[in-house]
Amino acid sequence: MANNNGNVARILYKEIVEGDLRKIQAQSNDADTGGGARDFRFGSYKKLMPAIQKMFPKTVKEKRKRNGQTIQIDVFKGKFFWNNPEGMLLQKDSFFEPPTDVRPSEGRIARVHEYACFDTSLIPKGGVGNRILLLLIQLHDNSVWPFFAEECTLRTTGKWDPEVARELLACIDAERSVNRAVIGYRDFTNTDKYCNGK
Amino acid sequence: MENNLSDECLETLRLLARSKNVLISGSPGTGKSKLLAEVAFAFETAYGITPTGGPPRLNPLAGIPIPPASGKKNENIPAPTKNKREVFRTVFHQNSKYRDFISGITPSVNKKAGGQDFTIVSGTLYRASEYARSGDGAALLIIDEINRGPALQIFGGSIVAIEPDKRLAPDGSKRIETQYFELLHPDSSNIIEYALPDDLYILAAMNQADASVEPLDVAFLRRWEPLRLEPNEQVLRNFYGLKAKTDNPLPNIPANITDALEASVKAWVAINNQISLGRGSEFQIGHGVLMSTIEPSSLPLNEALNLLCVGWAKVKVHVEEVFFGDIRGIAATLNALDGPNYNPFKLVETTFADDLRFKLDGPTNFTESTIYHALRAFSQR
Repeated sequence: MANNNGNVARILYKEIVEGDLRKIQAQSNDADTGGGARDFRFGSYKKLMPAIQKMFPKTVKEKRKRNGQTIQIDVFKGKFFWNNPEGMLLQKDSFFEPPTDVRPSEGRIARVHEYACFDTSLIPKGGVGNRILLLLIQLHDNSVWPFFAEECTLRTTGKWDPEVARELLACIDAERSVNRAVIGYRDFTNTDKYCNGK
Repeated sequence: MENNLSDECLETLRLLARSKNVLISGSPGTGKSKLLAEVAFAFETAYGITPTGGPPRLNPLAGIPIPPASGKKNENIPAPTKNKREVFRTVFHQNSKYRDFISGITPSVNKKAGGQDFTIVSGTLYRASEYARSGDGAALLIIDEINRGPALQIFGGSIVAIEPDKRLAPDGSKRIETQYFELLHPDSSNIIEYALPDDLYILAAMNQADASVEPLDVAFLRRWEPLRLEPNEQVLRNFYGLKAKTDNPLPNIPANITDALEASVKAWVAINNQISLGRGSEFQIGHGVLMSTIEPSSLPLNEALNLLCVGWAKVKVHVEEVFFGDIRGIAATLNALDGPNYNPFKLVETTFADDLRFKLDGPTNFTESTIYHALRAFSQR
């Protein structure tokens, strides 16, 4: 943390589904999970833009192959912060790539296997009735901290800050198609929020 | 966080936490509906009202990254520990019934063959109460225009039970003081004894000065914590983008948009002073009547003048309604008795059947060419 304030400005969250785990463990390269890239995919890209742009405030040019041709695209850039098991503060540049033509509504955090904070050993074991959410927590000092949250802990009174628990549970419990992952964000500095359920 | 909520909203939340029943009153245009909406949003989303009075904080080394903050429990917010929060809304009117609010029998519509001809409906208070009685639930019931319907009839036996010290205990158990009342139970169809839960909050609003309102008796009113909203010059000035008020005289012709907006503020203040003298302060017109989604300060002068015509047409209608049948009262309020000669309104004498009569001459509608002179005249006292 750049300072000791620690006040949360906004949270971008996404349910970790089986496909995400297979991708991060490099066990899949099927079309269902978005090919062989090791990334976390975020649907509802346009709706999440207000939060994405704040968490990845810079842009860099990157070369990508599209339809067999190499082109330059703008990739959002920020920085992830986390503590290793010994409590040491680590940080690394983070990148959020805009959608491809094939998946026009999905943005993605790229190369997640290169980040120790996304180590699969850190991801709680979820299951039916106990979904796992990836949280990108941005503080007022603009630092972004990835964490995982278990649904069962959110439902346990007194474990989480009640305002945060209320927000995440409301989106988990919202109505959506069975095959849609929970995705949304909540900005605590204003009234902005999004949840992909109703 | 809390700074994003208006002072009135925070005050209302504090009063709800303390007294559970809050009654907002104020002249039309003083922001009652806006306040109801703001409180509803704050209550339901718990926006800016964390139990400890602070925003969520990250603790990166804790097992849970955003645990509850430690510290003193915030006593200034309703139901701070409840996670299921719901707002229920109703508007009272002349045809509102006890059945709509508590419970009652109503004909079955589209009933199946052989089905019951009548059904028992759950009223708004009952539904809000049932929600708040659930383990992690808290409900805010908003009643707008509470004095437009027969409030005492609508509340029926629940009127005593709404008092904060007559509710059930926070854990849902009965207290010595808990007041029960009878209602027709929508599920069992039996008459049962019923009491209201601790985390049911009732926020009502009314305008005392409207024509089609019912009087509320003292016994009813004392069960509510009052919050009065007054016309607020500074809110209007802020909306217009004007600085603090000045005593500088208004120019004959508006040189810029600031002159026109300053005339509007001064005229509105003067009109309210006259209404207070002639009819009472509760009949004033609030700042909201001159506010809209369009910021006049961003418009060219002619468009701003046209926008002022819209708001001031409503002010004029209000004055005519408040002083209905009292032509001299209207004229005095519009400074048309002995006002300046540039006032487009004049009180003139005439006769009818050899009797002296008065009539108010002036434009039916404000226009871009008359509005500034009218406002300047209204403000000159």
